[in-house]
Amino acid sequence: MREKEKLAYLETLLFETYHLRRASEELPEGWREKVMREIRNIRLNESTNQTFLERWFGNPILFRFAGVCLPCALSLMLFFILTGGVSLGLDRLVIGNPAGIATLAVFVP
Amino acid sequence: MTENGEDALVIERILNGDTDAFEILLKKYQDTVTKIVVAKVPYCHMSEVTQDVFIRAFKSLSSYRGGESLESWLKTIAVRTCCDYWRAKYRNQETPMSSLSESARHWVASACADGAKNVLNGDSERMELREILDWALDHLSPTDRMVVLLLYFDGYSLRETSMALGISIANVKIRAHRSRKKLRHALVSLI
Repeated sequence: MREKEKLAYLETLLFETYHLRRASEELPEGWREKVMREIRNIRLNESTNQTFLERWFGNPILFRFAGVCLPCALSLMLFFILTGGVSLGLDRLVIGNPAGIATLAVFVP
Repeated sequence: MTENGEDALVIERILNGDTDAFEILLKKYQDTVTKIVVAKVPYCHMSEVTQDVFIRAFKSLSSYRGGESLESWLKTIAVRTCCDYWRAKYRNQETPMSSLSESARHWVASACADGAKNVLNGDSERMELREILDWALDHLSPTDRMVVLLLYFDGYSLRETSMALGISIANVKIRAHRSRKKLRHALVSLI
């Protein structure tokens, strides 16, 4: 056979193999019962009716993480505003240092 | 009552807390889903992936809008679950591109030399062919693998393939073209 014919032949065989596999296999006995057991363990309303935020913050680990991080983030922000504003000159503030601009917003008025 | 209507009633029961009603859907669509999964993942993982399909379907049942039939909705979930299976496999490097065994290479050479041979009669020959098929498909990315299987092996249309995988028709065409080239290249190296 020429290469093209060999390739076509091999492709046909693989195609048939795929469909044989498809027709021959079955799920093991007791499979459905196992799935139903899993399904019963899932609390449908919790998993489906929650909003994105509820799902995230309903997670105790994430909630704790967010709870700890929020004061940290605010303190850090304040720290940068104060130190950034004090240490940088006015020209730097005007150029667009966000910490400096925030300081101006706080102190100038 | 139409089939969609019957399914809608069952879904309503499930969403109202009657979890056991899901077994009705499970019985009804088990074969449909299995037929999709069986040829796309290794046999040893078939039941596990089929289970994942139904668990995913159960979890997102409230998002099923009823515009399409439940069967095609489940088929889409099945195809995407198979695709995710391969993504996870590739990511975990559990199946690095396998090298083909010497016996399989030898088998190809002899089968091609004798084209008239009825090769699908023996179990051992089927095993060799399965190995070759898996080896050839291992050359493709998870999405490309699914494109090839759906489009060429399962006979899905371009539109159906794009819907099942959530990619555009143009993307399906490009992936199909590239994958065909890759597969041909791999198979030519065997003969």
